[in-house]
Amino acid sequence: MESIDIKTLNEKIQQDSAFLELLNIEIGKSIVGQKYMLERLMIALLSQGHILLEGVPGLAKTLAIKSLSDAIDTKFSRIQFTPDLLPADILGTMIYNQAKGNFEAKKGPVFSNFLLADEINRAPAKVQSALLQAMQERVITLGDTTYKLEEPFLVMATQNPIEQEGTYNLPEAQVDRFMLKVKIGYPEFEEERQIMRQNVAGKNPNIMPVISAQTILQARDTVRQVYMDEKIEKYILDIIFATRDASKYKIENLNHLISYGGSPRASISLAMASKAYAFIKRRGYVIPEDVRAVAHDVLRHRIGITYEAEAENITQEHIIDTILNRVEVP
Amino acid sequence: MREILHKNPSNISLYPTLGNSFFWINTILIFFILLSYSSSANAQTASASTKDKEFLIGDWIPVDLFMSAPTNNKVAFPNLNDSISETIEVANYTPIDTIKKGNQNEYHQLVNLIVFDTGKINLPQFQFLIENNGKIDSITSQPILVHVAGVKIDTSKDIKDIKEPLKVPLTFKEILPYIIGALVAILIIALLIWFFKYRKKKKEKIDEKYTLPPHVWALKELDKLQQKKLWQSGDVKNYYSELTDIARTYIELRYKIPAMEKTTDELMASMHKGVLKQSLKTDLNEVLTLSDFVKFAKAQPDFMENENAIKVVKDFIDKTKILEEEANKNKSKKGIQ
Repeated sequence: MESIDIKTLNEKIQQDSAFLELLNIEIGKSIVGQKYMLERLMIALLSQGHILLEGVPGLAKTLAIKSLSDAIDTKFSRIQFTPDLLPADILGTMIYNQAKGNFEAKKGPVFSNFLLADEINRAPAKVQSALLQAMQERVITLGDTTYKLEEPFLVMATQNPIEQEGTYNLPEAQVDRFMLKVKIGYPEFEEERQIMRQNVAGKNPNIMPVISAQTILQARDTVRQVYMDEKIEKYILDIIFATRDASKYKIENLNHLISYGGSPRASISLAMASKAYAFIKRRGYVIPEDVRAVAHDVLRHRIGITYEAEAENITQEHIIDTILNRVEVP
Repeated sequence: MREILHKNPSNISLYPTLGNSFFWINTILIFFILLSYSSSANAQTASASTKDKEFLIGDWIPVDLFMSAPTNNKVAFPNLNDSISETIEVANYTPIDTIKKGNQNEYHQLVNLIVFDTGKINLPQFQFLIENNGKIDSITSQPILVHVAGVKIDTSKDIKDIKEPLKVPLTFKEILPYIIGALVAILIIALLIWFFKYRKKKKEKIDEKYTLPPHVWALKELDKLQQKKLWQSGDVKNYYSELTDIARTYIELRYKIPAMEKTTDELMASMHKGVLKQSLKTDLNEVLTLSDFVKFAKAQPDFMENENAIKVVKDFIDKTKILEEEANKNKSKKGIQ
């Protein structure tokens, strides 16, 4: 059995993905468990996406993002979203220079490689929307000048699902720009014991940069080269189309529960995330398992549910599960 | 004045003199008589006539309507309806034909009448209208007496049957619409037959999966796949796609597992819950994994692997099939319980 292209690609991937091990070891110094979250962070980073982490406070969301950026030799900024935050606090503004007698751009924290938007749902929509151009086009316009953001550029946002007071739900246009929305769960018993011991002992491991931004950019190129067969492409499209019109896939009982389905951006994100997942698994080709592995994170914030679904306590998770269990695997 | 002449004939002088006023009256009278005579030479005349007087019942009776009038007069022929009376009908009539003769116009119109009565029949009078210097006058033709005879029946002979309508040979133009219609109908019927047969076949194909025992259906499909010689012709990807589809469908039907919606790993995990021999599972897993490589990673297995893949699936089906006797036993057991 021989497959020259894929074999070469597999070898390239083995080589290009070697840094993942190094990164995991370094981040593992400060983060115990949360492998799922770290894997998703890597998927977003490798597939040029942005990630929204949702979980109750104290699950090391912020620490994970901070550790990842520390382990990669890049610029990191953190913005704590508050109700009084202004767009200029994120993007920057034009400041008058008395000495020179002109306006100069004072770049905001968005001009970095990793941007942590902590508790993004605490700021009003106008501030959230300030990130739109940066997230999609990767440029920022200040005054008359448009600045290109340095690659890799990754927005990692966190939000707390339990507090509703004083929070602003992310608008659909904003939330669609996040490639993944990851729900973080509690750590396992043994993991939590280790976390407890580590913190009680007052150990604050210092995360050192182990890889460069160039390594990430090279890995991104390789991710794009991961082979995706047309059968997988069809599978991805079947899943996305089933979110729009479930009855076409003989899942009639879902139609009244979905108010809107995934956008074309969902198809792109699912394809890219699947490739990145295959890369993380050191494979040069995508298999249906890859698509299924990332489907929940790609789709959960892109499917709108009806009031009827809410009344029946049916969530996006249930809808995605049903679709994955009913759409034929190639 | 005619009354006076009749009453006092002795008062009339036969030899009027110039000095006599009666002479002048006579002269004026003669002048008007002569004038009326001269004008009568150009007078309007109208008539209706037939050449023959004897007709059979139902025959066309050609009536010539004639009128002569000065060229400066406007004339109007009788207005002809479908029927004139209960027994006389108008079959048809020609347009009015005009012939100019000096300062007179002669008008002819041939009207064919049909009389549905026998005996002496008076054809009706026809009224013609003339307009002269804004004055409208009418002339009525004389009635025409014709004899209409019935059909003579020879009572000495047998009564004959009603004659069949005469058969006129059909032209191609007449039958062309029928030919086109028939062709269209044949085409529609043929399409309907094809459609229903095709649907039935399709239905049968779907039904077969559920009507036949899973192993019978699967082995039949595998034979069909072998006959297609897909990998031999270089279509390895389709060969493995069809092979895994058959294997998955068999598992779905046999073990009631939604195999078509599961990935290889998920499928094998769900199969572990069953009571299958480990060797069978391992072999099947190898084939399904190899199929995934071919389908998703452009793998090109050698011919031994291709041959072996279908054998493994056949072997799996053969060793996991529910035999009819077993199935019947199970059914009867359930029945007893």
